Amino acid sequence: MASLNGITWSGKPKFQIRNPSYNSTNIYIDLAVGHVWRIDCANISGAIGNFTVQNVPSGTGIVSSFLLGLIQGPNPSTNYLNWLAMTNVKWAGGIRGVQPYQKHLINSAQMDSGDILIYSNGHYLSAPASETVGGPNSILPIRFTTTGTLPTGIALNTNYWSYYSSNMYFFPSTTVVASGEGGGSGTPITYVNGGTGTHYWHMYHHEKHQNIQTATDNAVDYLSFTTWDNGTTWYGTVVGRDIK
Amino acid sequence: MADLQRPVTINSAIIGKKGTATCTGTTLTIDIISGTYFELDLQNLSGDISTFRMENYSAGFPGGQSYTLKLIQSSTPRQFTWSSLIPQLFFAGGSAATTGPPNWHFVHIGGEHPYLSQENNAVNIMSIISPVTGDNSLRDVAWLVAMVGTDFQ
Repeated sequence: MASLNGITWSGKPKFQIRNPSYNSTNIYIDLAVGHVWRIDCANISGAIGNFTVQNVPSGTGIVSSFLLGLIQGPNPSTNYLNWLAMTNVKWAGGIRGVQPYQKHLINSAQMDSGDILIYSNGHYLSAPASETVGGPNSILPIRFTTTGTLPTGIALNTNYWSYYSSNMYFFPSTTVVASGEGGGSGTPITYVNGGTGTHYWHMYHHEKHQNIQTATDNAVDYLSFTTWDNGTTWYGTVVGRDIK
Repeated sequence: MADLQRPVTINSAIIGKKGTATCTGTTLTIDIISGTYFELDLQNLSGDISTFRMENYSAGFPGGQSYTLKLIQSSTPRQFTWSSLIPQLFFAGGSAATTGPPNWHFVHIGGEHPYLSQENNAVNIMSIISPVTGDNSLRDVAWLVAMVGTDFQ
């Protein structure tokens, strides 16, 4: 392997684009054969939850990186890379890429001290009590959908935030939670009824907190991954979304 | 230094070297020829970063260099004082480089100063691109700073 102590690119560096191998549970990136990778999500099935990078260069004082292009498939809510489960990849702000329009079941909408309390087992919104403004729990809006009628006080196509969350319960707030979940400074919604039908919530991504991958079929997104510790942790960043 | 003048195809990982970096007092120092990636724990700072020192500058300093900084926030949150911060280059041996104009400065996307996450041990990654000085004459005065991401979790 060549080791260049400084290099000037007067000519163009070219990269062979490689296709990662994958199965129903794993995606494999082999750094021995490529730096730039691309996967067409139309070909995957289910939610792939493991991100395995093979042949990561190892040594003291080195940093390795690669690029991954994602082409969205026609069924992004069922066939996708489940970044939530890929805990070896870290994302800015901890925004781990809840899949677009991935619906989370609401087990029940209950009354707690007169306010609506949402019970949604494993809802992923939990965070340390010390979470401050800027964390995913306090500023990322969520929205609700239903097969029937939402609880009174909760509307479709409307942003809400969460506070006092555990991995099962959270209070919906009509305003951005000002001091994190532990601060309890959200604006609660008075409980009137639990509505009818089956209710769901999903992350709603606005301009500054977009999802990792664009939901539109054939949309192209490019991600960059860098490791500072020989592959134990990868720092993921979005190079470009919905590139046209 | 190698100068690849023809297209080169790369079929495996690109590895960068971590360079030498320190922070003491209110000064952040990197050795710009020791690597392109610099990892720093801001715990040793006594205040916000008011001096950005780049050492081992040489007359052959080529243009368009990029650096990546991985900054780990301290228990007392620190920030860059971007409004008054200037890049300071020093030759090997410590004497200040004089080729840089006095109006060298850092610029940021949209003019907004990047802000480090305040959480203790939060990982912040920042990219810096030097001015183009390929023939050792000034072509630009702006060092471009872009926040890759803050508070990686």
